[in-house]
Amino acid sequence: MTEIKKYGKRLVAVRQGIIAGVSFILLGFSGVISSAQQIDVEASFSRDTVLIGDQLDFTLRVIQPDSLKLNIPVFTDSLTRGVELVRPVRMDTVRKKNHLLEIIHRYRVIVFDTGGTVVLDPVRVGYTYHGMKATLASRPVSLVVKPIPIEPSKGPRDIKQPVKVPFIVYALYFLFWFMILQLVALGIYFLVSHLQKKKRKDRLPEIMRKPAEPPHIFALRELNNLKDARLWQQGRVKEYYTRLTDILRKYLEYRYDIKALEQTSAETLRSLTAVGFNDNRLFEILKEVLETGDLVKFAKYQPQPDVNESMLLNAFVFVNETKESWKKEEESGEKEKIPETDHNGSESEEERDDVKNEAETQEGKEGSDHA
Amino acid sequence: MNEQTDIRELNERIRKESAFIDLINMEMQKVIIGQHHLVDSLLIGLLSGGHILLEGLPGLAKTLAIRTLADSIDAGFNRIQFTPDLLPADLIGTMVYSPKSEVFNVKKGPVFTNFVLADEINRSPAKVQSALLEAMQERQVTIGQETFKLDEPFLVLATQNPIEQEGTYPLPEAQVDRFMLKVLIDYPDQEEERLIIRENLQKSFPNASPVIRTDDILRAREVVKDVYMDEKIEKYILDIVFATRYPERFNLERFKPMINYGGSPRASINLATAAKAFAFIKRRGYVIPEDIRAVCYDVMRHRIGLTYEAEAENITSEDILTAILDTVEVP
Repeated sequence: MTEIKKYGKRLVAVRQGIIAGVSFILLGFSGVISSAQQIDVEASFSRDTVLIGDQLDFTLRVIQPDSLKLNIPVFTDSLTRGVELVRPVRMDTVRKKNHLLEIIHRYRVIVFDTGGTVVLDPVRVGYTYHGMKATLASRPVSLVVKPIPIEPSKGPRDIKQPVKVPFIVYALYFLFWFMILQLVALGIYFLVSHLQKKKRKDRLPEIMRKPAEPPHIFALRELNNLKDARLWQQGRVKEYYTRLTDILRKYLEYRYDIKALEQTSAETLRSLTAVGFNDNRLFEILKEVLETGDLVKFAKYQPQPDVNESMLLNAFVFVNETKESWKKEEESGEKEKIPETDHNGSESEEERDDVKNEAETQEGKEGSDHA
Repeated sequence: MNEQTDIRELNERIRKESAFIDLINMEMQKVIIGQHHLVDSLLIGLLSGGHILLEGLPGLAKTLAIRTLADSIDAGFNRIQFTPDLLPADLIGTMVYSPKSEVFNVKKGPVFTNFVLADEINRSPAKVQSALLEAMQERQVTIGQETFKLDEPFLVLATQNPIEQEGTYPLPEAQVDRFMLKVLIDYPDQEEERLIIRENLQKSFPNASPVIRTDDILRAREVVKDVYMDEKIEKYILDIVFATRYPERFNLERFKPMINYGGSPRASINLATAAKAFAFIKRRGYVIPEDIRAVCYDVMRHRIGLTYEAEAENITSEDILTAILDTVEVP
């Protein structure tokens, strides 16, 4: 009897245990169910019907509590057979009220299947709640794919010709302003390059700049300075001849517009002949000065003192007999070149001596005038 | 006073030592009509020990001029026709096994002579060109384990023609730089060509005969080294060479994008040496700017690397040199 009682008590205990367990499981499920009620999975196409080859958007929208971690599938190349991705997924997350999150996956797809209706399987979203795994699926979505309509009655057609854009007055207006802009840009470019050139010119060494004064004034002043420097008397013969020939070459460059500074003595003499210089006497005087200068500069030649003096004198004679006078026009204010001599070698020896004497007397005068 | 005496003494020495120049010129003129620039260039190379690259169309007496120069000097001469299948051993020599003595003997190649005419040098591949250019630079040749000094004077005169470039191996810049002069040969004028026709229609073609010995040349080379070059001339040389490297410093900005690379220090050395030799030929014991300008094109033209821009605008190294000479101030 006692055994029956014991057995009955145990049976009651087991039944209570079962009830408790089932209640616990039911309670757990109720949690999952209540969570599932807050999760929503929705899949949709942007259109219901498309032509084959058309592109459209596919959107997967999931609403979930922000504390829950979902496993949302990501498509990489296609949604299903015949529906391929054009570009990878673009994700977006929006925080909503009541601690909810909206997660959106957008895909651009292209449809190639002409099978009529494409049905996309439900998209399954997995999640874990208190250690229990569950899955929620969207509704299946369908898409009607239509082929290109063929109209046999119209027959084959030519390819489309390029579209002719109608002339718009607005385009002319735009072109006008574009040209104005170009002209302005061109103007700025020329202005800048002109300024740069001017700047470069200002930077040129003294010897390369054309003096603002008549060449003979410059040459006579420099020759006077050279004389006053008394270089050869101090044994600086090479320097003396270097300066002497440089003055003459600069004078020739500015007076006859020949590139004497960049030419050798022989080339300078040839260039002088080429520009029509035909005074043999003055030509020989110049040749003697340049050749003596070359010998001193390049061959260690040491001329006698009287030669040094006569070379300077020759230089004075050459400059004086070939100079141009620059006359200032009072009315116009412009400079005018008037050749003073024609180089036909008609001067007599007396005239030459006169010029030499004149050079001697003019040395100090010119120098003081234009110092 | 002493310096002045030195120059006079030098002028006197040059007058004595340069007498052979007239003799060589006479012998050359017996065979070569016109081409005075070519003859002068050959003499510059001979007197300064610099190798020469001749470039010109076929039939302009390149080979004949070199052969005549060699004939007028009592010296060894070998002509090597460069072909695509030529090997370095064909040029410098090789080791030949002797079955009799059971040893390898050295068989010297045609480069072992005083004057080497490398005809159409760009027809052979780089390995053959390198073998020759090594001999040019070092003036010695190594065969097997042995090194042999080349005879003095040793002068390489190479030719190439500017057309028919298919199947050729253009000389690399580094190797072209080893030629002291690159001489361009142009057509003779009408009167010269008339004389050429007459001479070739004669029954016997004139030949040059030896008028000097190699010792005379070696002695003349020593005198050339003594030719005085003033520091102003040195500065002029440097200005020209630097203008090829940094044209913007000489107001030649427009050439900056056209020059890939300018003259090397070897260009400066060769310009000075060639100018001295030219002064010697003109019987002067000192160098003047004319000498520099006379040799400048031949020394510098192959040492200026041009860019694609220059080629597109048909700018040659001669154009650049002309602009440089027109811009750089003469001392």
